[in-house]
Amino acid sequence: MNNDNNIQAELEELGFTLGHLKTPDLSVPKDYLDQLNGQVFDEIAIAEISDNWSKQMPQQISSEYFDQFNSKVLTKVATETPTVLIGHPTKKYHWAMAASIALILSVGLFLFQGSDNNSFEAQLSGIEQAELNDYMQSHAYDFNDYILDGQADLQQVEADFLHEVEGLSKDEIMEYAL
Amino acid sequence: MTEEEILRNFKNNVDKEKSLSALMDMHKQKLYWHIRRMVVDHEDTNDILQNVFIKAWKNLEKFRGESGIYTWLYRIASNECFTFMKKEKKRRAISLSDEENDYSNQIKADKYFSANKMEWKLQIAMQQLPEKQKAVFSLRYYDEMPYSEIAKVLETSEGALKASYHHAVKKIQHLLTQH
Repeated sequence: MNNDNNIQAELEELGFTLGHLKTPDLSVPKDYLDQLNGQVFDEIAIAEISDNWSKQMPQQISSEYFDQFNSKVLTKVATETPTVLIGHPTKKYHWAMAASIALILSVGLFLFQGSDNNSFEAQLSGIEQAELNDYMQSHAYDFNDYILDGQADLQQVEADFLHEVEGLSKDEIMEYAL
Repeated sequence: MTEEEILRNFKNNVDKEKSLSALMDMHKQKLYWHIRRMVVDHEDTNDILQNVFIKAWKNLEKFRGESGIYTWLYRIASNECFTFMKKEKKRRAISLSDEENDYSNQIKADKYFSANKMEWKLQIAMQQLPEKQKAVFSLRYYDEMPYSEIAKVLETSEGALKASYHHAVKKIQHLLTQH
């Protein structure tokens, strides 16, 4: 203890803050040191149990398998049709999607306003696919080409979009859309 | 070729085939056995292993290096195994315990199988573990991977992994002494 005090005094003599830095406020998780012994003994016990087991895999495979493996994979990747990479959808992209969807819904509601016979869904289903495509092509300028070409995984796009706009208020979406 | 060179080549789109080949040479054997311990059958293992490298081919240029390529490949392989096992379970529409028995039966059907050898006993006992525990055991016991790496592969906390591994070892020990 006396020795400790001497070291501390020596440090303080040596200069400015060095003496104070000797005892920083580093914290140890609660009960860590109490539990350490138990944890070490647990690890030892587990290691001892498995010490007599063998790490040798008993199954055998032909020696040619790994030799030929690379060329099989390389042949496969060479014949893979290039996929359209959707990439990481950007904020702008999601806003564009939101705008497009809002526009489609607004126009849809406008078109069917006053019609009182069928449900909105039934009326929407009456629109020709070609008409929808025409509409999207002429209005939804921010749609990426690959969506219009039908190459995108629309379910994934929808899921990504919903994830992105989650938490945004209706007003925030409409502010951009209109 | 180092992992850094492989990554650089993928990002710069040069020598990609050569780089993939180098990557396969580095990791295919370890990955093969990890997958094989999970799904048992060689043909299934081969399909999954090929998929792992095809996925690497498609996605390596986007790899952000938050973990090593080795950890990343193990993560792909483990996820592919879980997906495969889930599909198999559905396809066969059998209960979990039947499925476990099924994997054990596949092991017993191996032409080199020898019921008295410790290696085979261990393989059969391992198949009695739940899927995730089986993966933890495979990575820790056979591949001797540190818990911190396994945590990245299986996206689980180190504490949970340690507990899982300890349960696995004790369960295996119990099964080995039973038979």
